[in-house]
Amino acid sequence: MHKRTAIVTIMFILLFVVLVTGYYFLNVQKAHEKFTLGQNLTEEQKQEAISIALKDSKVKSEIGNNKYNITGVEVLGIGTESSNITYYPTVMIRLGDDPSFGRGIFAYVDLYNRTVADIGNPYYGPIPVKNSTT
Amino acid sequence: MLKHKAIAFGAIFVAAIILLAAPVIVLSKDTAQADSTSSLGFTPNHTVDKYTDIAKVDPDVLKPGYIDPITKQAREMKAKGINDSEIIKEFEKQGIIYYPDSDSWVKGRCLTKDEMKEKKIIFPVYDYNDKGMYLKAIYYGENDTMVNVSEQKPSVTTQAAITSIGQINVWVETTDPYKFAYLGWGGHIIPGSEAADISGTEWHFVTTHLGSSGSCTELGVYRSESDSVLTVYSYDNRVEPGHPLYTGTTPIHPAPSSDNGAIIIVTGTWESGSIPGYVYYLYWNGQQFRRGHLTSLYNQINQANEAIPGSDDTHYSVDSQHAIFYGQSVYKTLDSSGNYAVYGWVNNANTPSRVSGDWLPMKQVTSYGYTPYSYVHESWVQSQN
Repeated sequence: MHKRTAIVTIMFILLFVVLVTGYYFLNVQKAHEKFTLGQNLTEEQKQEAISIALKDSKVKSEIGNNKYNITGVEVLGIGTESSNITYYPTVMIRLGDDPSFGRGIFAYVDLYNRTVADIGNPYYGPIPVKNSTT
Repeated sequence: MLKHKAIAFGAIFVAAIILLAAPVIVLSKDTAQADSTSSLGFTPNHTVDKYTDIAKVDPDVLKPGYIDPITKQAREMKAKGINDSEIIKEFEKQGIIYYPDSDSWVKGRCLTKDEMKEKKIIFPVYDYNDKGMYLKAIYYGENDTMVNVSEQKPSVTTQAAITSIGQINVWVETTDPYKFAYLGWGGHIIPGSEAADISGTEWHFVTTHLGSSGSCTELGVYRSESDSVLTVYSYDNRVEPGHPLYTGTTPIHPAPSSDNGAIIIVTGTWESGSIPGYVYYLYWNGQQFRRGHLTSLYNQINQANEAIPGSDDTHYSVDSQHAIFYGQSVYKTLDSSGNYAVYGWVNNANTPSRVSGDWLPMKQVTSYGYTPYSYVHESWVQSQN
């Protein structure tokens, strides 16, 4: 009886370990999925990144009352120098009442932790007009 | 029983070890990717240092009551009763664009409409709807409507509207906690080739921005697809909304490999003209060539290499020479009177900074601790093949 209980207990523990470890590995790997420059994102990843960015308090603060436009979601990097740049799905937001020229917000999104890891402020030049009569 | 308990505890122990080891194993594989390939092969030109320090270039400009010679001349003409249009014409003869309403000026000239058409300088007017930004109209020049576009909708590629614009850029900028903390910047600019041609990049800018929300100036070097030479330009978003080159193009054409000293400095003098703000000046190789106004003494600094493609939105011209920013000092605002402290821009506690990664086909290499206290940011467009 005691032996059977011990075996069942061990089996439950092993099952628990397998499930927890498997789940943990999957998510940790997802957490540290190394995004690489130029990597294509799925539509799901893009939408997730946009959703996270637009809910972020710092991004909301930078947008303020300005009109804004999302100009893209790409894997781009940010760091303090070339040797430590990390690449994230990046939501590119153009700010301002004069969208033909203005300041931007790049929200570098950590998809696993569902946070904005960093923010950059590039400046946009004039927008090329496609299919114009020029 | 004890044996069974030992097995059970052993299993739990093994499970715990696995759980603890898992993140270590995974994290150890996840090292940051970095392109550490440096091609810094230039020799710093210390003779240019004298053009990057406002104390050497123009020590009087930050003194209260300072008036530059051009503004002084304009005010004297106004005092004599000369009307604005005559003052504007007089300054045009001197190669200066004068803005009487805001009492500001820039050395250079307006492009003609033919030049604008040749350079494809257009004024796209955009608006927003629930799907994002859309093109509303296109103009050449200020009032010369060429094309009216009946509300083209943005191409919606995802559930949230994304409007592709094609601009790629790499940059270095000040960041929190002192993102907006500066009234000036001085540094070296080697513009590089800034490749542009009809089959690739339409506009190429190597530039420095200084400003805060809604009010920004920039100073840099550009090449458009129709240009055989580089040209120094400046831009003020409140003076020239729409395009940086409607005004402010200068007759200064630096060589791609030239080492130039530039300064942007905001003074503590507030003026309440049609474009109110603190008076600022731009300098290129020691020469003052723009006076304008910014709304704040507390500004962000951003240095960038920007390439905007032509109509196909996918091809960029390949650079033969790299653009380099180096030897930067920043002027940190101390109070509302315009007093400041000077720091080398080194990404430390005084000047926290961020650098963008590559944005292919544009590459960058950035390092700190150079000459002896600033960063070097080298950037270029590489082949897309």
